Amino acid sequence: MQATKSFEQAFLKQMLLGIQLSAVSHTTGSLQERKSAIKLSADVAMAVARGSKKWTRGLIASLSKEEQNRSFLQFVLGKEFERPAKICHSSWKIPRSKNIVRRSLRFLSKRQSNIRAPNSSVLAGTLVEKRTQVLKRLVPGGESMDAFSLLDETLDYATCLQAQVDVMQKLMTTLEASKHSRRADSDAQCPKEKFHLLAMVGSWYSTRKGLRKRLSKRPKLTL
Amino acid sequence: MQCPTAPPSSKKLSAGLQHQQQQQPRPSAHDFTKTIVLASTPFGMVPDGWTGVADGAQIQYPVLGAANVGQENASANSFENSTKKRKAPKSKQESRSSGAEEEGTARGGATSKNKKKASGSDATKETDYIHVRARRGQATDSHSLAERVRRERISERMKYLQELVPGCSKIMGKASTLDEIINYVQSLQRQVEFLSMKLAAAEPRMHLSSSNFFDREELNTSCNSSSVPVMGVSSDQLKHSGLQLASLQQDALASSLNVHGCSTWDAGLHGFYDGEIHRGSHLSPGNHCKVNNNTSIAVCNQAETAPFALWEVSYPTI
Repeated sequence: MQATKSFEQAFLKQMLLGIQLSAVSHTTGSLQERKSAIKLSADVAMAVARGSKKWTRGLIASLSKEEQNRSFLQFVLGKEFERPAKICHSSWKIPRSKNIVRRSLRFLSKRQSNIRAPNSSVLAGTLVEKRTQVLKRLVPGGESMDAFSLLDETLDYATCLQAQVDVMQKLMTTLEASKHSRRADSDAQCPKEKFHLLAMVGSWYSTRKGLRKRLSKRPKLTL
Repeated sequence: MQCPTAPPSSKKLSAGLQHQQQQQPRPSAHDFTKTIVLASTPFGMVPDGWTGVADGAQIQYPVLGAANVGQENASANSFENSTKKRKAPKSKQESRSSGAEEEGTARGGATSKNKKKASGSDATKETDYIHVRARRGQATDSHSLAERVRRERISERMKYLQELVPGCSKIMGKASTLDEIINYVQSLQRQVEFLSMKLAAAEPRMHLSSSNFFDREELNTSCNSSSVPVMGVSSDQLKHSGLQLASLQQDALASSLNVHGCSTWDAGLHGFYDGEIHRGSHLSPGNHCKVNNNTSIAVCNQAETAPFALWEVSYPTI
């Protein structure tokens, strides 16, 4: 499963804008601050570019828990920011009735007391259980998902992470290449990744239909 | 064995299904069929063993004409299928399910590979049902069948995950696959951290603007080599490279620092909170405009007034 090109384009755009946004406040920060600002804008860009998924909402919610991120998030997300923060809490467990849980536990313990030797299936089950728990902690917003949707969201999340890493690597190489070219003051070599980056952003612009119209008409956003 | 006359082949399968339903209560010596009906919300992913074609969110099955219930009963002899029927399904689902069932029986034989899965359960009054058939020699009570459906769905997802994670295809077993997936996600997250650190180190001024990326020469090479109209360039450059964005450039320059109603953030928001997959092509050009005199590059974007008062700080003069 590959992330689509349009996702990468959207992600790149959002990230650049986000970095510019935080650049105003972070021009003279330490390395740590700058790094966290970049990471923040990258994560937000990924979440926004992906759309509405459980993990994106969980990601935004977990990011908004830190006080320092709030202004940035509020800026980026606008009025919609408050809504998800209330709705999605990463520590939100699936609501379970206490009585039922108690009864089922009692039943299970009765069953297990009869079985002395550990069943291989039971062992396998617990192994999977442990790993599911770990996965739930990894995937943002995973605590409140059942096993099936957890796998679904992991799939999605992993593709988006891949795309994120790809785009950031290309960004890196482009930056370094342009730096070198400026220093060397010679004709820039156009490395493949850089060209891809240019092509990506460029083709995004070329697919805009009616771009001129929009520029002149001050359109209202319709989606 | 009684072979009821098959209804004339028509497009309407409901007739056929009614026929089938009439049959169900009839005690036939070879009537093994019971249909399990589960609530369904089709996912859009075709599980393995499906003979139909998934179309977006709908699952369509090639319709084999009228329900040949007689055939079904006949072939039911050769392989012992057991399904359970619970409730009268909706007509749409009926046609779908009967179509697949027919296919299954048509190809039947000793091994029946047909099975319909339902995804999700809907406890509300408006429920859709899909018939499910149990495989040969397997338990047929509702719990185990539902369990099996759930297990199938999970294993299907695991397969996709295995394809995604490199080097996971040889690994059998849920636990180790999950292990690999966890390692992979962790390594990706660490990579993101590392890359963001590198970016922060490489760009102390944090001015990751387009002027860093686009140079005259690069634009020329990229423009000449492909028809990618990259960001606008100055007019002589345009004529030189024959970009179509010439007129765009003029407009953009004219409105460069003007305020427009769109912003990328809003675009992102709508997609984000409307539950739609957000595609880059849906974004309207909410951007900023920037012209760099030295390199004659213009990145044409639009901006919103209030938040982008900050932007003007970093704008060079046009």
